[in-house]
Amino acid sequence: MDIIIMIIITFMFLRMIIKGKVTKADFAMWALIAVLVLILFKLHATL
Amino acid sequence: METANKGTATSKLGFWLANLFVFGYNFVLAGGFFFQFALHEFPCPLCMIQRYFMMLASFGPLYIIIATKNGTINPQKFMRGYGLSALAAFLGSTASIRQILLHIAPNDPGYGSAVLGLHTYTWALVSFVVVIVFCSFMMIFSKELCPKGDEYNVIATINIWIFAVLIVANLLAIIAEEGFNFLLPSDPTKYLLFQ
Repeated sequence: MDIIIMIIITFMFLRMIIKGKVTKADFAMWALIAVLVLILFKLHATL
Repeated sequence: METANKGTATSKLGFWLANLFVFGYNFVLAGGFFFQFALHEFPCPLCMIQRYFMMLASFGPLYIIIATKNGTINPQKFMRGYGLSALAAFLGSTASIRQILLHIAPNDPGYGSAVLGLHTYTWALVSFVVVIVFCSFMMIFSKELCPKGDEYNVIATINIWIFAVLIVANLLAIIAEEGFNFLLPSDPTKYLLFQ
């Protein structure tokens, strides 16, 4: 799952930097990554 | 594309502070690689979650820098960028706080080695709190600090490309560490891809 998250993060940032602009798709990817990382957090937090 | 206005001293300060933000997390992510490859300390799942939120927090200033380059920056975009950063920093702080609480018992040595007396996950919490406070001030003074669109320069280009290299390096590192597994082990001791 970490690899999936990092692939999306890498795609989002490289797309932003190479294209030189930020679109709604980038904001959608940001939200998707945040949700996936929170799910990952929950999967690991099995105090 | 909107026309870029002439930058003022405060708008230039706002642009350089966005660059400082990206540079700061470049330094932290590079420091993580120092621990991973020089000291052979494998990042645990919670460490990786904190790294992801650091990257998400860097989205805000990167958005501001790119909008400045295009001359399309305005106070609304400036505040949107720092709002996303503050949200990512808040979420990242929850992972840091959990990791601190996991090792809060007396005589617990903590995970990994300490830097200036604090473990890296504690420093991560410090960085997230600094980001939240920083974003608050940037949003309070957004009218004065918002770049006008002519501040972009080659140093910003170098800064964002260093960030891009660190992102790709993190992708390669996590592929090596996780291998073909769905999740990282809770206490990683080897690169699973090469097992």
